[in-house]
Amino acid sequence: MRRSWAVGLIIISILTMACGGAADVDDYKAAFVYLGSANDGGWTQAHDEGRQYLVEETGIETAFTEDVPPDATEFRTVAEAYIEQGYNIIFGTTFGYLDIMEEMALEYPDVTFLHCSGYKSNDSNYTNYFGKIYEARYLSGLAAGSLTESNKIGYVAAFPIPEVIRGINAFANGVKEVNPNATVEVVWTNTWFGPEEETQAANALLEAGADVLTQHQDSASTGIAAEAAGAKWIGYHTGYGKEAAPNAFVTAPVWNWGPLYTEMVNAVINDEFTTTPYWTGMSGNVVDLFEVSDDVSSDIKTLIEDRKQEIIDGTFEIFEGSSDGDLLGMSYFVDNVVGTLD
Amino acid sequence: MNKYILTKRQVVNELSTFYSFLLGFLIALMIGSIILLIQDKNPFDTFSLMFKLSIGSVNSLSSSLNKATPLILAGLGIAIINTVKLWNIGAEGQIFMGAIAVNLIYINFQLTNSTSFIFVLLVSAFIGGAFCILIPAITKVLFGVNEIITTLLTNYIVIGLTIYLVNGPWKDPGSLNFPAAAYVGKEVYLPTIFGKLSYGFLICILFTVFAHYLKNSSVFGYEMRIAGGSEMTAIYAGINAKQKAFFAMLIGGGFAGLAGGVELLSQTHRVSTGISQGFGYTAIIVAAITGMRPIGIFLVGSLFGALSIGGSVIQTIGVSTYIADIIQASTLFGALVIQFFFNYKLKRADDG
Repeated sequence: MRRSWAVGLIIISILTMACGGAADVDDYKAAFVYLGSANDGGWTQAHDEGRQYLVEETGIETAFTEDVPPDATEFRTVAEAYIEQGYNIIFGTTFGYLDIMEEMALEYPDVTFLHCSGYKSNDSNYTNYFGKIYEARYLSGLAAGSLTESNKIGYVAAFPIPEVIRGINAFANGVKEVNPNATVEVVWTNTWFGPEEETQAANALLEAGADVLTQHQDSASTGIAAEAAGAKWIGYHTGYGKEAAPNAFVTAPVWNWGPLYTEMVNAVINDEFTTTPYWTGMSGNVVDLFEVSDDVSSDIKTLIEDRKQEIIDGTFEIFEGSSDGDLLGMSYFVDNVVGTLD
Repeated sequence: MNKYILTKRQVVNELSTFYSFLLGFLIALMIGSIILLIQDKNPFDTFSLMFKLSIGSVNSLSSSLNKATPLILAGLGIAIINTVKLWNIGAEGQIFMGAIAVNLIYINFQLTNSTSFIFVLLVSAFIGGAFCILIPAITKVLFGVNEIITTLLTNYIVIGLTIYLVNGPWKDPGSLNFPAAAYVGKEVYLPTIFGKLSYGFLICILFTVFAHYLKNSSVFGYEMRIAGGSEMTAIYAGINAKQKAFFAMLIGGGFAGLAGGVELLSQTHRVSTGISQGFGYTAIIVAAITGMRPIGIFLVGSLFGALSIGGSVIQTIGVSTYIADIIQASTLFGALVIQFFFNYKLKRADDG
């Protein structure tokens, strides 16, 4: 008995040595640091579904921490605890981690830092990634423009940063294409996740006459407010809104992080990782539009499908003549948007 | 029928606060363990990992002490104000005001010598905190307005001011509209003693000694105690009670302001709404649990710093961070209840 153990051990060690140097998923552990809760039905849940997909695809060990505010000290505490436990790939999924991740990437050269929605990178172990959600927002704008009767569409939005502004403009371009008379009215909440602020903003827009609402927020509060007022609503992040506000829900631009996470982690494991930012959209299957409800006419549904295919094929531009750089720094509104930029 | 009454003990053990805290902490650990067991986690493994990652290495220990620094400084301020039997619920706002004062001076003045510049900035933080409590102090001594209400309300004003500043005049153009002020230059970062331990902790030690002296050994401390004790005694002793209360409040506010300044110069390096994560409120707990004793505040504040780090890292092994919150809250609760029984005893009424 004892001998067979020993033989087994020897065989295992030989196998291990044979594999040494080659790519091995067991040498890597990935930690995810989240701003919100992993079952928020929104932004963080979309990332956590991506994490689960990553585990299924690669078998890598993962862990996650929720509710880490976008300030340096908390992120450092959590990330260092992971590093001490041998985690060597750290995902940070909110803009505010940008600077602390840059700083820590310098201190921990053996750890790969992947930052969602930022714009910074270094030349070895820190980069950013994001999805072109504005492509799906443009498509949802086509639906919204066709649905409004008051020609006022309300947009509950978090912060006036380029990411959010780009989404608003893409949405407004979609609205304009089917309904040149409609305007998109923006109210800022100054929070990513704030059910009360979001409800307040949604109600203000409804009182101002908006009959279709959408949002760049992490909770379903806007949808619940729209449901109560008998208005229509375009959600964000996941299809969860369909349960939260079944009558108001039309569709939602949704995230699909799993394939991108698998691609990035495989690149790290196979030593093919580069710090060129990952920024793809519908063509890379990172973003999509959730199944459109029957509130929308079949003509518009056909238009949405056609445009989607053109975006994937690269034959249609939502912002004509703009480079990625222009889009990443966008700080103006297109002309059918009503709102302030500060 | 047996009736029980509470009577104050004649002799109270000087160490009772310490023992009650220790017992409270043990009870809290037991409550935490039960919750962990319900969640199918091994309490021993969880607590030992929490221990390892919060004080088990130079790195994690310095994180814990850095975290403790604002708690201790703000807690000391609360204790000084409590010498005249007044409550400061406004430490949170004073922390923000200290940070705002640092940034205000930083962007308007430049000193070439960075050591003296840091010194000037820390003094500004102290003045900022004192300024923040000025109106509650004036209304208290002139009109007797309840300082618990006024100091609490100033928190909302100052946090509102912070939100305005970081979204408006101080918004960093380089932050792409993210609501935060620009970073201060590296030349005014507080240096580290060793590892990650900031000089802020040394300031914290100095101010603990200072607060201890001020409260217990100085003439001013003696006068404050008289002023806080009885109005008649104060008048008899020729002590201007209102004046003592006024200055105690300003000094206490200054301590909390300094906490904000140290936090900015050593940790966050910029003004944002994340300057304090409720330090000003946790500091009230720390001060209350130790019976307003500076040395106790230093020790318990350090422990709370470690608990807070432990609470953040506990999630990395899949345990909810709320467990750490529950342990903190039950420590306070346990300690206060036990302290009560150190000071009072239950007596059968018919014992006469």
